[in-house]
Amino acid sequence: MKRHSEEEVQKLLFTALSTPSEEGLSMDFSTKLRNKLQEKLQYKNRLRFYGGWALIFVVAITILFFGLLLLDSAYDTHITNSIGEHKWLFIITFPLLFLIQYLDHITIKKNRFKEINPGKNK
Amino acid sequence: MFDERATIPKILSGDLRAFDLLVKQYERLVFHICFKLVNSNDDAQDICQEVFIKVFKSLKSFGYQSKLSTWIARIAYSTALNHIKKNKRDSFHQYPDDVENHHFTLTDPENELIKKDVNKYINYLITQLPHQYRMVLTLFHLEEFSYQEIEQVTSLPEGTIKSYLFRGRKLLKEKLEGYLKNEIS
Repeated sequence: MKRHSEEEVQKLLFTALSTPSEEGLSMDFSTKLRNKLQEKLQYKNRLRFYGGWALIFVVAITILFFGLLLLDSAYDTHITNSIGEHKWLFIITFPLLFLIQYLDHITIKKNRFKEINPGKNK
Repeated sequence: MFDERATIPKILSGDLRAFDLLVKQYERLVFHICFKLVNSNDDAQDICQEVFIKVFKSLKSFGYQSKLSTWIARIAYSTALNHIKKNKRDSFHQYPDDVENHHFTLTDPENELIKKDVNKYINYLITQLPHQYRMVLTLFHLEEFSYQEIEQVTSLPEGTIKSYLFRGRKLLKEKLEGYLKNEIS
């Protein structure tokens, strides 16, 4: 029987250390990754879109309120007082509008998903 | 040929096809790092995905101060390490200096198959080493990283890297000699 020399053992060890394992990434790894990234980018864009509109809305309401304040002081119309009396109506209505918009968006997204992947949702 | 100077600006402008090229270029490196650290193919796949998402998100902070491969390897190393810490799989990670006294376990019948192939046997032994040794051996021998690059990836001093390499190889060589003797007799 052949006995291994020191050099041969060293060579065997170095070969084993530089040999990659049989395991590897799945064939569809990059496709899955790209889909996930696309989802994340879409989510970010949606957030930016709705955030932008929310900001515009808040700025518009603020300008309107200060405009009414100016109008009140100039012509003594008491419009801001009337708004103050019905403030809960405004506080509830606007977030409700956003909630409806969001629910509508989610429903549309779910329906579209069903159309694309009918088998998965059975 | 992958040109990182041309590809990175494209990725930063949101080009996912350019990012695909980056993934193809570095998926082997990332997988080797993750797989050697977590010792599970399924976990390694998930961590690789997490790593590339992190790469995509933080690519704008890459300042070409190191090689892109080193920068990506560092992200892969820290992500896989966090996974190990979370799952508390690696009981050695606090005691890498005890490696000489470590007793390898290779007794159950399933492992008898491993004993028949030198490469598989060595790779199996590596899985039982502390993660610092596994990482240093993988980056040096499999990925052909220099000491400086391994230092950038692992934050270990160069002297420690050399010591881990020497001690890891010595231990594996002793085991291999024993294995070859048994194979002959």
